[in-house]
Amino acid sequence: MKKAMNTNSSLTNNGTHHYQEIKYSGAVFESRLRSHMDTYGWSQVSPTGYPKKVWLDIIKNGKSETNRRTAYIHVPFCGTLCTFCNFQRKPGTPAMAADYAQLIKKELQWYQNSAYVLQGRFEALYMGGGTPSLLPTDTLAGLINIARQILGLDESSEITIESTIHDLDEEKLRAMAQAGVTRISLGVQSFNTSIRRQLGRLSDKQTIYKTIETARDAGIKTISADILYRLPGQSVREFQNDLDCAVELNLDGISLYPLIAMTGTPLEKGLKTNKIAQLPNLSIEMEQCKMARNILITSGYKQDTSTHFIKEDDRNLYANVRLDDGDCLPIGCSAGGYLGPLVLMNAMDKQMYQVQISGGKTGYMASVNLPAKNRLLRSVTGQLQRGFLNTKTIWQNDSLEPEKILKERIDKYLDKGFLTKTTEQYELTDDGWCWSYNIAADFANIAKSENSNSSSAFAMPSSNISGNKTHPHALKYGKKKNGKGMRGFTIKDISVLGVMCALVIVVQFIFAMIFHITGIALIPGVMQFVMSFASCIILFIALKKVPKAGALSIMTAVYSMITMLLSGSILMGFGLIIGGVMGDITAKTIGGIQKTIPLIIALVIYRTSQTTFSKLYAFITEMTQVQLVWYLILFSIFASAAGAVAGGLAGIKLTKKITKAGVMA
Amino acid sequence: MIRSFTQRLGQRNPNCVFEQLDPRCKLLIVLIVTIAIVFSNSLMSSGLFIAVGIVALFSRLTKALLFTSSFWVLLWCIFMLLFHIVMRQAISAPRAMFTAMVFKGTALIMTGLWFAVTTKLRDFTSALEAWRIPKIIILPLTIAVRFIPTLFHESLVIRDSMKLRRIAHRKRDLLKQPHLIGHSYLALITIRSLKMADELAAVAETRGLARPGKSKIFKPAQFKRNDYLSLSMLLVLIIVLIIASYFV
Repeated sequence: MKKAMNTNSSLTNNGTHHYQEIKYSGAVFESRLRSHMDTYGWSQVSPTGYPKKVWLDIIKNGKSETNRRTAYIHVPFCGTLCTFCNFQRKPGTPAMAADYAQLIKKELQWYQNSAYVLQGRFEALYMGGGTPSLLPTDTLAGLINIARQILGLDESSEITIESTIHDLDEEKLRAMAQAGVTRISLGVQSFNTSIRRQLGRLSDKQTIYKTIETARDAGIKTISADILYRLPGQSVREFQNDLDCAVELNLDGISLYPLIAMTGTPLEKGLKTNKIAQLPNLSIEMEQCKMARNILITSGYKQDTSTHFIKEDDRNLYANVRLDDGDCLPIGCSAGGYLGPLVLMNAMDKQMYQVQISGGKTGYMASVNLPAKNRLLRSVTGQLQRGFLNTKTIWQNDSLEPEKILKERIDKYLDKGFLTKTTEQYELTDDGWCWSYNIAADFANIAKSENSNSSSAFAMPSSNISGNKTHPHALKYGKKKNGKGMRGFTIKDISVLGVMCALVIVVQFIFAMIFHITGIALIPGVMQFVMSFASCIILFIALKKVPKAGALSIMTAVYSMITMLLSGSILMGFGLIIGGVMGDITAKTIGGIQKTIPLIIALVIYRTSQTTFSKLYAFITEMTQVQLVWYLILFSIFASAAGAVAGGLAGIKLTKKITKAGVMA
Repeated sequence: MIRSFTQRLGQRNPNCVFEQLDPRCKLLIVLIVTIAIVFSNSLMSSGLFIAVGIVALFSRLTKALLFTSSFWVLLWCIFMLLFHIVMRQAISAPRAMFTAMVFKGTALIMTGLWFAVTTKLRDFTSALEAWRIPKIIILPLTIAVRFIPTLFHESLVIRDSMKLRRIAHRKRDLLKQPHLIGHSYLALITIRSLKMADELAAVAETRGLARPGKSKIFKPAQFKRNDYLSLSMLLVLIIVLIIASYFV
């Protein structure tokens, strides 16, 4: 293939450094897709049917059409956070992980004795994360034993645990082997100690070698390691050294992933600010990819999936069953999986997950019932990630004609030399393997073209290139889902405004209770200042998250309706609405609510209007009788304004903190 | 108290007439009671307090009624004491103040609570849609109403965890370390809320809420005999109280 490309560190028109800019002119694809999440175009479906009924039917009555099944357990804690990762995980301790294991057990117990679990054996269990090896040894062993017992995992089943090097010691490895763990997937990433440190990894090369040896001695049958390429400043030669180490260690499985600079990660920030060396350009990346394939195949490995190479001892069952249209039972918070035609996802947050499974599993955070054609395409992408496409063995039903649906793309890739035809099926060529995610994504996008107007739970916009998306395992809300009467606000904006409104009410209620009971409310101005401060700090953050004209009016309208309902303060309610609208208009006039100073001014106007109106009754009835009331009311209004300014300023600080926590995307 | 109240939200009594009223009827009742209380005198506020109390008892809100009344009585006592000690003078009409604070305050809050507790969110939404209130207001309003109890619960969890870590856990810290309370509590609860909003949006998207087009309401809001009867009874009560106030 003729390739003409620029470097991936270039200057855009406005002069900003745009390190991700990669053009691949003259080639079939403009950019390389690097994550399996890029191939989820088949998930672009409108919600159909009643998924809860379907999954309950499958689990309770065992009406699963597939005989191949796996389970995935997600442990969302890590002892240390890697600089490149933005998966669903948070810093945690073994104690926190042990506490969380109780929830997993609870969910597993809900599945116990269900017709689905009793219907057939599970071929594989995969514990991923986060870092499941963070679990204390006894908890980990106990959890695996329960999972084995409930899911009916036997000697022939594959039980995999993801782990970092530094979490493993001899005792833990022996306990794991004894509990039935047959395979470990080690997050090596690189054998180069300085690169490892840059990525947030703790152990050095010698420790890696020692740990792998200990794992073998402990009785772990299959040892697989993740190795990254396209690392900052990495040359082809440096990557080759990593591969040589992997081959030298005689690992049973090697997973090779190109590094993706995920949005919001320290890595991405470092690249943006040039604190980290730029990522290799696409030509180096492709060279690394092809070289890796050559070296590993020459060393006796076989390419099993787009990213995984195996020797005969590594069955890689979990990935293969999943990609072969098998079921995958999701267990744990933010775990995703499939049950027949259903795509399921548990709640992403631990507390939401806890609520979801307390008193029996009440549901999944998301469940989508795939139409037949989308299911076929899922099967197609699965096969392509395993290196072939067989129109006879992909999932299909009588209403579909796979040959006809796939013909155009098959011909295109045969023509481009990415696919080759054998007697039974189509197979990826050497070039095809390197572009396998692009090819799979293109096939998956057949579904998109027909569902371009429908909403999607798991959709990946076609323009997204790996690395520019916010989270590989996160649900996508879609670009714009403006229903009738939504006036430019997305459902996410509305959710933020609604929940933050509830927060304003709760915080104000708590402060009001405390201040009234302690008598602080009687000190002139204090109550107004604090209430104004507390509400404005929350409103500031909400409006920074949804910086759209009208957002303040919506929040104040909602707030006023609830205030009127719960406390009967009609005047205050009107004050809130008028204040909100006036604030919005002012902010728009002086530069837009997305800017900090207009936003603070809008908050001041909103708060002073609200205080003025809520004091109007006293103002009208008592100003002529007691002049002191006059001054007190004015004092309250000034206190409100001061509170709003202080709230806005504190909001700036809090916004920074929240952004740092990764919530303020 | 708050914990038991949030639990109560999930358990509605299907046999109680007051709980089964049309949400629009309930909204009208809340509005009428609110306006009547704002402009009421002692007799009228006492009458409305009794009426609201009876409804609360039938709707199994006895604990909430007792708590709210006690809260207002406590506040009244604090006010009386403060005026007496700090300002060195007694309030001229303590009984009038008692009526204004305890009866009016309790009646107002209990009416709102009765509405919030006995109305299913779905019914509330369909009632507002029937009144043609824009979706851009209905959706956040529905979310806010739904999440108030959840956030109360979250607040309690954060308070517990702050206590556990001995961060501003004493009552005097409210005065001594208010910045620490704000710093720890506000930051945490805001992060939790934003995360909740993210999850909620994902769920809403999955459920198809964001899809354009009109959604089908399976149980449309509809006024029935009991609704008309309740509204009439309330209006009659208010008229009787107004007339009685005139004569007393």
